[in-house]
Amino acid sequence: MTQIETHKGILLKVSRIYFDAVEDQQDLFQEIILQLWRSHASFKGNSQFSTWLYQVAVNTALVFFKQKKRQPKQLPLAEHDVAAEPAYDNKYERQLACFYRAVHQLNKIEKALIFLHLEGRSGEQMAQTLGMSAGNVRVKLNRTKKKLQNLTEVENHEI
Amino acid sequence: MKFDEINDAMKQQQAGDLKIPASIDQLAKSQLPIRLVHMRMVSEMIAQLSIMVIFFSAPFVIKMHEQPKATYLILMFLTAMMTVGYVLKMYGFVRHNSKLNHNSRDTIRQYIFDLKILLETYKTAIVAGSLLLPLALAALFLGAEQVDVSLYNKLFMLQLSAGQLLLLVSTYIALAVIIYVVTVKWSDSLYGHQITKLEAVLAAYSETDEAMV
Repeated sequence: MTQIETHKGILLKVSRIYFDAVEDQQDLFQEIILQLWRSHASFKGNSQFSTWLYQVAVNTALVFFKQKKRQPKQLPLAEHDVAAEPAYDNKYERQLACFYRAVHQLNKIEKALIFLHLEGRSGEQMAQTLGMSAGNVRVKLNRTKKKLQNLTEVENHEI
Repeated sequence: MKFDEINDAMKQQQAGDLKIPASIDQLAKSQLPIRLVHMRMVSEMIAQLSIMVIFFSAPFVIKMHEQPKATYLILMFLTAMMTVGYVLKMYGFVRHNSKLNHNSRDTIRQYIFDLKILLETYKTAIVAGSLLLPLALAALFLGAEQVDVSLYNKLFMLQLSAGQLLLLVSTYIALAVIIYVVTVKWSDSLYGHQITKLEAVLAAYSETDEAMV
């Protein structure tokens, strides 16, 4: 649990990238922790703890995202259940909100690529985590970054 | 797009509602009984449907007189309808709960409640089936061509003395009671223990909440 606490930021990041609703973020966050707990015995220490944690977090997010997509969306019961758009204190918060809105429009693999890119993972590390070739990762990452750029430009224009 | 700035903003973002659970043990302990229950239910559904197929094909293996054969098939049909009923309920329960994440106290509480209701339905269906099944089996064995059909007629036309009838009814009731008791013990061993474990997890959640207050 101490190691999870130390690397909590990674889990928060992946939960927020994959889901916009707080309940879904909480569910994914808990599910990743559960999977880490369950598979901790199989962690042989051949790689760094953080590398193993990325693997588990991304795999869990991919499966969980697919399961959640199948469930019907729950609508709020009353107006007060709908969270109001928060007021942004500074341009970084605005930028972050815009980024999240754009990233939530990506598919699950694109989200994983952006998450790993934000974490500073190399192409080879991303390829190992996602089970893809390094070349494929490079191409997909470039496309995803361009797509994200276009989406954020649209978001900025709408704001 | 400046990913460095995005990264810095993300690091500064508060955890908000995303919290590490007070005890991962409680979370994990609740998942294992749930998965065990689902696995056992799936096995049971397959077993029940297979048994139904075997019972329905018995008249094609054992040559029977016509009337006992019809009696057997009617009784098996009624038993099968009850079996299909609770198998469908079980299937619905497993399917609905497989989609949910039972990682909060409320969902575990609801799961326990739904499971208890399902088990009551299961026991009721088994009791009803256990009252029909002895008759069906009697029709099967007494109605076989190798057996004198007059035995079947005596039993099913109630051509028995008062004493024989009383003995038959008593035996029948005793058999039904035995089947009921065995069924209850069987379902408790399959699912009852897991319910107890889940209730213990719920109690542990409450103790943790009290300690945190």
